[in-house]
Amino acid sequence: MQFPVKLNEETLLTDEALEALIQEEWLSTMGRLKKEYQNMPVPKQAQDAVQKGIQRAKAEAQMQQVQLQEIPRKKTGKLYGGIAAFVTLAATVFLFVLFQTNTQLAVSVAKVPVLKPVVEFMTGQEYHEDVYLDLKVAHLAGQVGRDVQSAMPVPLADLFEHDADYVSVISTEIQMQIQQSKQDTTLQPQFLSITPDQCYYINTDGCLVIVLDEYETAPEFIIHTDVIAPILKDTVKQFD
Amino acid sequence: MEQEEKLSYQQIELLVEQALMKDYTKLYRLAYQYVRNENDALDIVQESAYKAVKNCSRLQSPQYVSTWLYRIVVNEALSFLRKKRPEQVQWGEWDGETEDRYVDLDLQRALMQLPEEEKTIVLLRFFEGLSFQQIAEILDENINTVKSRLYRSLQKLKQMLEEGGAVSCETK
Repeated sequence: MQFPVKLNEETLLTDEALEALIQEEWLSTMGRLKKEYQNMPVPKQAQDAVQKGIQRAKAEAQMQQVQLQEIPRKKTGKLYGGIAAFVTLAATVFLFVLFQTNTQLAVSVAKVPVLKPVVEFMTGQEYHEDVYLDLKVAHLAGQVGRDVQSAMPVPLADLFEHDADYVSVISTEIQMQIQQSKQDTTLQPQFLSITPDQCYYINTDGCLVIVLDEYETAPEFIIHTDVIAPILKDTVKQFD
Repeated sequence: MEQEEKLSYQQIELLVEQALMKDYTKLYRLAYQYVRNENDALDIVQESAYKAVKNCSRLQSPQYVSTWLYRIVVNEALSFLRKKRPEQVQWGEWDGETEDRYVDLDLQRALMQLPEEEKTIVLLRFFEGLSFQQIAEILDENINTVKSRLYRSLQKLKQMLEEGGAVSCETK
């Protein structure tokens, strides 16, 4: 194998010279290796692996939309703790009412080991664990086990003053964040506004996080508390 | 520049899924070149498929879907190697067993001794038949960088072969 032409750094960048080198020197040799490469057996599991990867991503995307996020212990600021405490309180009441009125639900939730005492306490009845849990309930247990009460959704609106225009405040904030972060918006659907009952959760930093399932590029937006502090409900604020 | 038709998230996701199912053998072979081990290659392929679907909205344009998938696999394979052997980021060891599968053993060995960024270019150019432009997109590099790197790699290969194919397997 010889180089017919001595190439220096300058000529190298001309496409013709490089192409010539590739064609004349390497294509046939590499071609033989390429055949080996292409004939390399691909195990059947490769297809399964791809499918598993796809399924895993899809399952996660679905779970993200289910509003089952742990309310974390407060780290910064009393206000966040206030929000968490409020949500917890409301959720406990909600659970209590729910279990009293919906026996079937109470039975099925009681099948989850960690939740059993909670349900028994709330309903004053005992439930026996005699059925295997289906995957969905097991997953619920994984999410909720650490903080049972926070699993119940409190509408976003309930965090804010009754007449406050939180939809606009938050939407504007998200629009700003989108504008600041995007280099290429050609493929992104236009974000206009959140809905009054938009999905949300409180993150580990105690910030409100808005979840937009239809805008998957950055499906979650952290709303810093100083943006919404003026319109937060007194019941939320009073913990401050 | 003409405005492309905007795809919905669902359409992009479907596009990525279809491309994955269509090209999985290519992706597997590419991954295998890095790790030379079936199980590791399968892991890389699965992780790549996961990341592709998960981040499909980052796909800039539908026409780039196949180069984009290559890119994910290359990155996934390299990070796999780094995690596995942080002290020496190198191509998978020569396991000896596969030797008889290759026609040009010397070249194959020489190829494996190239640093991975150089080998990636040789592989994508010659084995996958991609254009310099596509390789530049996959590696997120300037097209001229890709060209000069390929040139450098070929020189190295030639040198190694001229040294009589007596390329030792230092990794052993």
